[in-house]
Amino acid sequence: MRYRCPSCKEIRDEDICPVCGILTEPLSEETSGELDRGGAAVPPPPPPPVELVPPPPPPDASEAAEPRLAEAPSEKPPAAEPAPPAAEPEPVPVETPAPRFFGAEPERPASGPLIPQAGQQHLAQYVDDGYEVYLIAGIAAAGKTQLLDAYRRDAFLSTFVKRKGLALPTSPNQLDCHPVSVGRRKVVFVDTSGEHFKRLYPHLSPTGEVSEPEVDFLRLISRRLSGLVLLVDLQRLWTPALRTNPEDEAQIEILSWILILLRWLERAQGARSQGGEVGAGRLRFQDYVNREVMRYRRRMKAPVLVLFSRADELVDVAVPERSGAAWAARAANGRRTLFPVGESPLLLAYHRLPKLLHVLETHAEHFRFDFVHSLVTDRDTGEIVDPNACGVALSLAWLLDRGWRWPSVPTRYWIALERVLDKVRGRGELWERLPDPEDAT
Amino acid sequence: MRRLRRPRNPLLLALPWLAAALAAVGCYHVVRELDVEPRDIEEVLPALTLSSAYAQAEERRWIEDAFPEVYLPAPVSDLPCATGVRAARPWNTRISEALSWVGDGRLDDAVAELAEIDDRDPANWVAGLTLGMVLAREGRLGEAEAVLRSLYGRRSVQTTVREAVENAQSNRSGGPDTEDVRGAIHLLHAYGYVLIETHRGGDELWPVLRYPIGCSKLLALRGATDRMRRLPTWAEHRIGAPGCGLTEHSLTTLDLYNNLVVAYLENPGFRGEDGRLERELRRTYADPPHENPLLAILERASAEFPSAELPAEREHWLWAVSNAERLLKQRRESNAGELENVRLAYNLAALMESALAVVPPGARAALTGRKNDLAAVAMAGRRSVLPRQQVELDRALTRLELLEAVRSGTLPPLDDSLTEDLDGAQSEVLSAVAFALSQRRNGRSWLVQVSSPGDAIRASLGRRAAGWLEASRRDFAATLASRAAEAPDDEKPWWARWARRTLEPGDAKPAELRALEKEVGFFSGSVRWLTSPFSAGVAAILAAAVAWIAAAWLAVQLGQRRDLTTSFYRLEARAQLRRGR
Repeated sequence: MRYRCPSCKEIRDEDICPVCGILTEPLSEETSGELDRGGAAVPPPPPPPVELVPPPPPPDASEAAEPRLAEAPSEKPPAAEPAPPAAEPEPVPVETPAPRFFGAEPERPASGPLIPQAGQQHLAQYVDDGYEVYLIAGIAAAGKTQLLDAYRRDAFLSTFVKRKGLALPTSPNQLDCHPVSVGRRKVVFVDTSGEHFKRLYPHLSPTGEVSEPEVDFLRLISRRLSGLVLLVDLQRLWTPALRTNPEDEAQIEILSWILILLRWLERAQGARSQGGEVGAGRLRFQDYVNREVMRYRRRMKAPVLVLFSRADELVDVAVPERSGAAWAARAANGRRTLFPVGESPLLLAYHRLPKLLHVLETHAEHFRFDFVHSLVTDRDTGEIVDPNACGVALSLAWLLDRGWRWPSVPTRYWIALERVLDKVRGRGELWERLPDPEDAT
Repeated sequence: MRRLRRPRNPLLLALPWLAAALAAVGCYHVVRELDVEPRDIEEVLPALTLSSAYAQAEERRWIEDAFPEVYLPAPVSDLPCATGVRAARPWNTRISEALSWVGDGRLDDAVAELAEIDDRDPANWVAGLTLGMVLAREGRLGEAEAVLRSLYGRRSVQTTVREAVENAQSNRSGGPDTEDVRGAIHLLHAYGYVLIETHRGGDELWPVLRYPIGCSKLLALRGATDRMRRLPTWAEHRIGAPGCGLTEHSLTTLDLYNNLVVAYLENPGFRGEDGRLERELRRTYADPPHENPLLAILERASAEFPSAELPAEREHWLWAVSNAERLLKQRRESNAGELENVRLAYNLAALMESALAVVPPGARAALTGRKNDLAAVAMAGRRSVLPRQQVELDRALTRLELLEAVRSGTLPPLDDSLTEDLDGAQSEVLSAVAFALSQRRNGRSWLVQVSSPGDAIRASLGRRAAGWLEASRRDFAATLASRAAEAPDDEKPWWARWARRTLEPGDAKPAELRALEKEVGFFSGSVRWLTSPFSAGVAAILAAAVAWIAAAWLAVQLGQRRDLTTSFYRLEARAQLRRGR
């Protein structure tokens, strides 16, 4: 179904115009078909999946990947026997390479509470105790837990602060809180399963919608949110062959949506939306959030760290082409591949992740991009080549910097300044960005 | 593994401290630069006429502390010549013999003899008068007072005095016998002198002093007095002692007036009857102030009394001034010439000295001139007073000289015979005043000496140096504050500041400076306070703190900018490569 906005006259795929924030008028099916055939002025968003792609079958015992950080008190023990999905169709085996993450993600029920009560209670306790909350967001297997493990090692932090002398219990379907002592500061990293973020994304939600109670854990986090880490798996984003889940391709959209939610929650300060506006027959929750966020002038204060995870595996990953850009014209054969050590993360994002950059500039005051890997493994055998992380300590040190408490120049202004300075220095072509071919049609 | 740090420009790390240092130094100099005077005070000083009111007041205080204000009553004059007094019979010879014993040094014998005669014949007033006068002359004032009081209380004396005064008031020349009147005059004069010397005030004093004046008028009507230089009635008359001819020590009417004026001056408790002062101060004539400065004082007193400068306690003084004014007025009108009565000349000069504080400005110069003339008369004739009053007169004249010198700024050379009668403290004050006047003579050197007092000042002034230096500083401040009245409004705060700068901590501000500060307002204080080194230091510290915070913030922002464009991944990878991993 296509819709037309009575205000801007644009054709939209949603019943709420994302620009004007008003109800759109549904077009007739015939008109929608004609538009589809003729090409829509606005590229449609990815269609919501009809059904979830089931997770890959759990590896057998002989190939069970031992936790590479077995000695590390990871809060996500490998699930030996994931719970079988209930009332699901026969899983279709998908031939994909073995997932390069440590510890298979536990099976999550298709329905049920996103965050069980236990995890949320722990989080609530930390929030009430005045802990600074840092959220690690990313799709499943993006490397969130490994990032925290690497940070603890490389940052010489003390081990997890025990609460009342007991280690935090971890189990599937729980929100994991990792309290850390950073000097005299009380900091807690919140690590949740990527499934949770995927479920929060309306287009990947089973019902196509997100209800307000489902974001309660984010509401709790937003009360003391001091920083946000967005993990992006570029390899799965740009390599269709490596995608195993629909969220792999929708990482940017998911993370953008998480950012928008957190901005709305920060402004709303935990208060719920006006019940009369959201509900059956009225605005959907996601539309309501989008509309409200557009009215805000203040951006989210908490700094946002966008990390391109598994940087060791990004070498020679092909960068989606955008012809004409001087930045992209590097390889002699014209094919642009990644070389993380030599890349400018900012320019990479500017040229190849413009939507993410736009979302960050729109909703966050402070952000930065960087590469990171928690350890280096052999591509073929999966053996650990180098257990040392790279890019973790300094990036998280940036995130934990006390300077964010002071009024700071927004990042978008620094980016604009960089563009001007480069232009003055004669390197303005670095910032020349031609329109995305997809946008031209 | 060594912990990596985010790259930071060392200059950014040092930036806050550099900024703080620059801000502190710059702010300090800027604030101090505001301490710019519109002109150099050195250019203004030569044109200033330094006032010395406070220094004069300090010097006057020295003089008045060392030289008490004294007034000299006319003492007992010639003793009666008993042989020539009919009323002395039949005791004439014995009285004369007793008087010869006084000359031979047999005072007690003479006193006993005269006392016996007086006891045996109370009606004979000559013996009693002679006895009383002898005792008064010899300084036995208590005994003299008893004798004279007893004599004054006799009915015959009372009758003589009453009738003489009544006839004089009625302008009749009749009445008691001339010898009796003459005796009564001498009796009253001697008694009054004794009462003055013994500081016995009270109601009895005033008739005792006034009646002889009335009695002398009667004698003048009768032509029984010697009108010197054939002057009118109220001019100076000599009244010979009973039975005696006139001598240079004979009692005069001026002596009578002298003692009356002295009595007023030395009895602060004197109060006239209700309305009496008003009548006393009233005059039927109006002379210009330069002709009759005392009249100007009386006119002011009539308008203002009692007031802050003429309180009720000074009523006795106004009586003295009134009597002095009448006397001088009459002498002037009768062309009596210079007053030749040394004691009266001194007393009037001293009275005029005390009047300078309240005389209207238009009469000040005339009063000063008149005072100096009288003082000169007293100085010239000081040897004519009795020896027992010589020292007292010399000291009193020295006091007048010093007071005038303080006012004029010049101390004339004093006769050694005048100053040799001074005691230690008085000599010290004389030297101190001379030194102070020498310092004040040149304003520039005075200023320099006071600004940096050397040993000479402390050696010459001793314990008085601190007070005199403070008074001098106050004079400088008052001069500058007064000069500010002619300055433009924007310069007045600077004048206030210069004036304050002349004072030291603890110095009282002169009234002129207080008035200037009140006119200028808060700014007069803030000029110096805000630009003082202390304030500049405080401002520098605050500026350094603000600059440090601002530079630290800027350094943090620039660091964040650098973080934005830096790949930490690359940094850590390179570090790992260097470590050989």
